[in-house]
Amino acid sequence: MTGGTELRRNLILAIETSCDETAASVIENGQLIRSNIISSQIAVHQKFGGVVPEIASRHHLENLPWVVDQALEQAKVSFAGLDAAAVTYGPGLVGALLVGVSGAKAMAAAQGIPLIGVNHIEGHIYANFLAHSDLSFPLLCLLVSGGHTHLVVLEGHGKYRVLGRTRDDAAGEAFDKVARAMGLGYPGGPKIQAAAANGDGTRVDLPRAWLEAGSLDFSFSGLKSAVLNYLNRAAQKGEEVNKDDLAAGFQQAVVDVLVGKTLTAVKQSGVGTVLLAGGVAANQALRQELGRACRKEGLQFFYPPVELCTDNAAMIGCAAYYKFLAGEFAGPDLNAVPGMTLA
Amino acid sequence: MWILSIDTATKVTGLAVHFKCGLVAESFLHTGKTHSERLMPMVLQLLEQAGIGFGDLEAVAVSSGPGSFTGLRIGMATAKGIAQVRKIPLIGINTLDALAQNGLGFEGLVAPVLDARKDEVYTALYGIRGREISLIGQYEAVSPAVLAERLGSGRERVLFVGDAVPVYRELLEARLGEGAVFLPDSRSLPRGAHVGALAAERLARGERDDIYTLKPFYIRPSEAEATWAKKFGQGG
Ligand SMILES: [Zn+2]
Repeated sequence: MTGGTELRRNLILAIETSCDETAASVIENGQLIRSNIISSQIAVHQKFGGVVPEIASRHHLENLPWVVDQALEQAKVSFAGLDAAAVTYGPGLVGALLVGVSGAKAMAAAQGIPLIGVNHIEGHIYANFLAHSDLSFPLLCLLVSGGHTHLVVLEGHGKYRVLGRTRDDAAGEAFDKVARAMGLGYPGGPKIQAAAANGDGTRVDLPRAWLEAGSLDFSFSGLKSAVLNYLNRAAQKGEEVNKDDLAAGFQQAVVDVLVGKTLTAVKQSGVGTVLLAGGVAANQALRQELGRACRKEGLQFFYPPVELCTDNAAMIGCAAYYKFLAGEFAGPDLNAVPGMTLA
Repeated sequence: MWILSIDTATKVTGLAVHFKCGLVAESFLHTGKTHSERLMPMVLQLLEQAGIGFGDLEAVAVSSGPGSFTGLRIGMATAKGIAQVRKIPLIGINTLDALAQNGLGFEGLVAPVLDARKDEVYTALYGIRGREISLIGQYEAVSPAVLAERLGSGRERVLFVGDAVPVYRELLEARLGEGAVFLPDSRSLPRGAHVGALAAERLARGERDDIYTLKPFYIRPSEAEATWAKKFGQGG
């Protein structure tokens, strides 16, 4: 910098509409959360027992202007003060993504600032960079959410090597389906966690799918079926199910596999820093057990605060910052990519 | 005094730039590409060709439905984004109202028909006399057979415009015979210019919508809501 007395602040407005949260955030220098606004549609979808894509899309369009206004207002910045606009363009519900993508493209163009497209999964991983400023590569991330279960090595910003992924249901999906079958309602993660807190996970014996020796892939459909069979058998015999114990048993089975596979991934990759990310990363049992296991192995372990684990735009803004630095901008023809993968 | 108008209610991407109620520039694309991919590049191109920037816009208008749910949302999210950044009024124009403008010059009834899938069309009936177009009845989603039956029992000639014409033309002709009138594609498909013309009129009357309250006019509830209402009754 020549003659500059103050380093220029980089401000990015980020927008996230991939599922049922309409979110906007302003991130300063990829680290400071100036605002993080989330308009949740959980109540809207609850009566349908899950997210209804068409209804989600309708609500995003109605909520987005207000959410963006709030994000700017709280950040005390106007559109003119922004350096870039960022948006999630996949993976997710196509109609929902398109609202955010269309809105962000228009805002960037109308303000004459660059547009940055962000992969939602990448955003979840980057929630860790918001929470911790001292992460150094390589990093091993266990990413668990409603749509994804991944073990990924980050070799640098934007450089991913996927070691394992789910072959059927994502972990969060299994939580939702089991919660629905048990009549606990939606969203499943918090409901199962609450019930499990009052239960004993050792009373119901449920299977753990480890797959082939050394495999870092996941499979949760067998576990889900085992819970459904357990419920059906009890119903046929007219027996009362202890839902707390069943929830605890299910949660324990998921956590055991996630923790076990993460440790195997550490051994296979030689990476000594473990990150946890994604909506299911908000699960207390998972945070505690993975933390305990990492301590025992002498590994560094990081996870974002709960509010940055569930879908939000701050994580999108953080991921966008590193793309901004790398000059990775999107064109006005940016489209939603509902089936987008990581790397 | 510049208005940008956007129409993505059907497979046509229609744009127009008006200045003081006069049409300055227009674009029309009816290709296979998605609105999401082509809309913003087209907007940038048209503004450039018209020799203006976003900062020159006094209002942004959007075809607000009925039409393809996703198409409507792409258009409206785009229009809202521009209006929000530039702090200018947003104006929603009913897609059928805009399409009825295609019938100007015709004397009689005009029925814009948009393909609503599920064997239905979005439609409304208008009367045209000189430069006056007036809505008769209401906007609805209806089966083309029912529509043909209804219009076939009248005596007036009916001009059909819209993307559902090629799909149901035979059915309409079978019932209305000579009473059914059609136009070539260039005058039968939605045009951004008509959205802009109606928007300019609304703006001149001091009317405007805003980014917080304007919603697409879907006509239909989502399938999930419809199913739910059938099961549990309205108002849940
Ligand atoms: Zn997510």
